[in-house]
Amino acid sequence: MAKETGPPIQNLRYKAGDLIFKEGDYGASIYKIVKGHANVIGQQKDREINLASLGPGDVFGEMIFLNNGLEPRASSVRALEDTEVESWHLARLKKEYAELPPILRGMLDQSLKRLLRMIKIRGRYLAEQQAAQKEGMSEPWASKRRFFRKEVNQECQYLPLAPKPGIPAMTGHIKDMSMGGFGIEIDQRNTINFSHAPGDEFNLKTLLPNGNEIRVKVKIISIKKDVGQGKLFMGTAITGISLDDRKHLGFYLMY
Amino acid sequence: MALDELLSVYTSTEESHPDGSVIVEEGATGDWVYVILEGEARVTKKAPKGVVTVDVLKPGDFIGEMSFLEQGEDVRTASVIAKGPVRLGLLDNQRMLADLHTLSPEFRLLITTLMGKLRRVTEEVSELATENKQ
Repeated sequence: MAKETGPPIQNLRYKAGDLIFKEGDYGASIYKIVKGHANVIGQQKDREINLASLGPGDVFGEMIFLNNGLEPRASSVRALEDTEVESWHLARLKKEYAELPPILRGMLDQSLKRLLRMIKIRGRYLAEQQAAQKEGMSEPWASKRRFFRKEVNQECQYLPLAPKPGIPAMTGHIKDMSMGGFGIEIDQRNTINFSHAPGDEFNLKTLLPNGNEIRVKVKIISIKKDVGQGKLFMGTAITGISLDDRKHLGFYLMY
Repeated sequence: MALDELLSVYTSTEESHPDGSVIVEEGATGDWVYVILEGEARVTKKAPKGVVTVDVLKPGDFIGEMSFLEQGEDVRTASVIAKGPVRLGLLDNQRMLADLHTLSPEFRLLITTLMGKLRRVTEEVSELATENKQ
C-alpha cells in the first residue's frame, strides 16, 4: 500500500567504520537498518561518545521529520560492521503525512507537538544543570565570588588537604555562602596550626540548617586581618563538591 | 470535515469523570483512545524522586493516543487525572485501526519511532524536573 509518490526507497550499503551521516550535516533522508549494526555517536570535545546502538529494524535520522530538514543532524551515525540501510526521502513521508486520515493526523500532531516541547524543556534543564556545574567547578580561583551570597552564621570544621598527624580540625564560622564559595571568620590562633595563605586548600564540612551536612574543598582567595577580637576573615572559593552536596547547597541558598 | 465534527463521527460512547479521578493509570495496559469533550485533565508521570505534571489537556485533546499510535506498546506511559469534572468521548478503535492500516509500512515505523522517542524524552524530562526541584 506504499504510496507511489516522492523519490523511491533506496537501499544503501556501508562498510564497517563508514559514516552514514555526520553531526552538523543537513539531510533529507530517514533511514532504517535492514542488516548490520550502527552506533549513534556524539562529539564531546575531541572524544567520540556512543549515544545509542542500532540494529535491524531500527529507524534513525527521524528528527528531520520534525524540523523539515531545516536543522543539521544533532549526532553522527557510524556503521559498526557491513551494514545495509533503507533510505526514505523526507518529501515522500511528508506527502503521506499531508494525506493522513484526519483523526490520525490530529493524534499525531498532538504527540509531535508534545515531543517538540519535551525536547525544548530537556534542553533547558540540561543547560541549567551544566550552568550549575560550571558555577561550582569552573576555576573560581581566578574569578570572583560573583554569585548570590546568603548571609549566615554557621559553624564549620576544616583541615588542610594533607593534614599533619595529630592536628585537630579547626573551627570557623561561615558568614556568607554562595554556590561559588564561603566567607569564613576564624580565630587568629587557628593559623598557628597550619598555613592560612591565599592559594591554600582545605577540606571543609558544615551542617546546613536544613539538616544536610556538606563536605567541600575550598581554596583561600583572600585574607582580611584585623576584623577585631583576634579574628581573621577568609574569602574562599569552592574547588570541589559532589553533585549531591551541590544540590543540598543550592537548595539551601534558594530559600 | 473539521476535527470536532469528525470526532463526533468516531465517538462511540461518552463518559463523565469527577474531579481527581484517574482516567488512565501509568503502567496499566490499554490502547483505547479518548478525546476530551469538556473540562481539563492533567498528565502526570512518576519519576524516581516524585511525580511531575508533564501536560494539561484541554477540550479537543486526545488521551491515550501514544499507546494507540505505537501499536503493540499498550502500557500506559503516564497517568491522566481529571482536573475538575471532565466529559470524555471514547473513540472507535476498530475504525481508527482500519485507518492506521492504510499507511505505508515506512510511515507506520516512523510513527512508532517518534512515539518511542517521545516516551524516552518525557522520562528524561520527568527525572530532570524532580532532580532540579530537590
